[in-house]
Amino acid sequence: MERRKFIRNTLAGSALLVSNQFPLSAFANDPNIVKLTILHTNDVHSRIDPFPMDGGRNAGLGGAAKRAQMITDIRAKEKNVLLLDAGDIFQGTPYFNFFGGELEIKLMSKMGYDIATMGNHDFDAGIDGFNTQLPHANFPFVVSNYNFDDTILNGKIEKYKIFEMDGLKIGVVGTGIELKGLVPDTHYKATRYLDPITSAQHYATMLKKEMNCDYVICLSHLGYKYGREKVSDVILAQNTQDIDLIIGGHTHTFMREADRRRNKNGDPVIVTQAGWAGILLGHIDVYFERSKNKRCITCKNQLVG
Amino acid sequence: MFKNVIYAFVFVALFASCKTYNHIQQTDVVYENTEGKNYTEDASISEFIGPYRDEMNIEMGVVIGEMPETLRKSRPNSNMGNWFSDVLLSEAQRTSARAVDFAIQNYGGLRIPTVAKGPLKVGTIYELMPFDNLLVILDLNVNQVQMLLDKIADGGGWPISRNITFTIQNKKATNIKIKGEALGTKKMYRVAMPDYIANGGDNCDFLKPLPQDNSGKFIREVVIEHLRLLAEANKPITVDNSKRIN
Repeated sequence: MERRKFIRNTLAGSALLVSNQFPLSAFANDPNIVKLTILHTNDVHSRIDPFPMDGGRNAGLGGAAKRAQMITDIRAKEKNVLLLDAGDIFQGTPYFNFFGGELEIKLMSKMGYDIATMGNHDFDAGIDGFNTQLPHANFPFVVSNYNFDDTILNGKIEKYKIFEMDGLKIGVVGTGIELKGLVPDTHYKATRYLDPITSAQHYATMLKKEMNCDYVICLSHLGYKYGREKVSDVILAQNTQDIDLIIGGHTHTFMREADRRRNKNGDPVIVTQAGWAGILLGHIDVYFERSKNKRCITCKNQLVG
Repeated sequence: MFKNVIYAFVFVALFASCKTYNHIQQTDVVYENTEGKNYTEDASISEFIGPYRDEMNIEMGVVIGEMPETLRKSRPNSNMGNWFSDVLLSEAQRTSARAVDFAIQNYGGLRIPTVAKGPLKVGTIYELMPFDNLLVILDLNVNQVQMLLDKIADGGGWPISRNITFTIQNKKATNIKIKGEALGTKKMYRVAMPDYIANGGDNCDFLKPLPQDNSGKFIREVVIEHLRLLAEANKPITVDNSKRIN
């Protein structure tokens, strides 16, 4: 019941927040404003069906068929939509034990996912199990800090990806969590883990500075934040530049609102995550001012509070 | 000549338009859910899932017991953790030739927050412990037991079976009692656990070199077997709510 109340409050809160901001309807017909809609999930964990109606706290929540309809409805309304997943697609219901992740990946393809990153549980059928399901994906996977050169995934996972729509150039990088100690080495085999901050920074800067991306998203499975030094989305946000948005996973974090931070240059960077199991669909609207001016005329401070 | 003027004009127009900036002007973030919104299901997706669900439910939809109370997962203690680790201990004791002192289960290995009171399906046990983790028994000396329990204390408390209690103090395990006796009363202890932990998972590297008495059975199969045996003997599922970690 607590979770239900929280979700309801979250929704009410977000609605209020939006209504208090700049009158968005004013943008609707402004040819100089381009809107990008980013939808995201994380840690869906093979939750194909909604949670059973057994009185449990998540009863009736989630489910691929409902999510698909939500996505279709949003696509019908919005011109520029990106649909992303931040990893841990696999493991959690018998669907995975029975079909090895085939159904999860096929459904994501049908829903039109544009890109996903890999979570630690995506190695649960071994790197070979993941490789078996990969042909069912009509979208790419992106991880910048796993070196797959000596594995079966060599050449099959992207380091970064660029999406162009409506005159916008959007770059996506991925960051994965350290596998040692978390995933049996017999599962990840010769995959080499590289420092996520260094890797993400390298590709983010390349995307922003050399490839002239307007917006850079980091799809991360590092986890939102920890009580200790362990690298997280918040640490990544604060210690890098050229990343505008971090869409996270791993910690199954339900957020009341996005965590708006400053990066190491003092520029805004948003950290977000959408719980787990497909209970929520993260929805981000980014408004761009298209102009000949190097400075933005209508931009407001991105940081709240 | 006229043509050249047009070319020049087009060139200037192109040049002027190619330098466009897309400034991030505002970002709004919300989290949507389907609850209370009367969202319909996408029919083509439902249809696609159908055959997979039917095939799965032949086995997963079978009811194998009656849970007497709703199990909830929490740290450091929970009735879910108690029940689960007690089952591991019972099965380790039943199937091993030598006595087993206690069992542990890593907290992250239990994957759903609640198990409802009432009819219990095989599929729910898969959701509770979906991993291909095997049940193993390790022979640990006093120092290794202390290290394992310190790891559990540092993690905020994991499910531990009957026969063991301890207190968390400064993220260390103190006041350890095994079958009512202080740790160190004997030299070696037999401890049942998932092979994920025995293989060094959750940073338990110190367990990795130790020989494993391996049941060769997935933990979820061990639990399902336990429930089948109970049902055959007409015995109810029992859940202990005692506080094992203080």
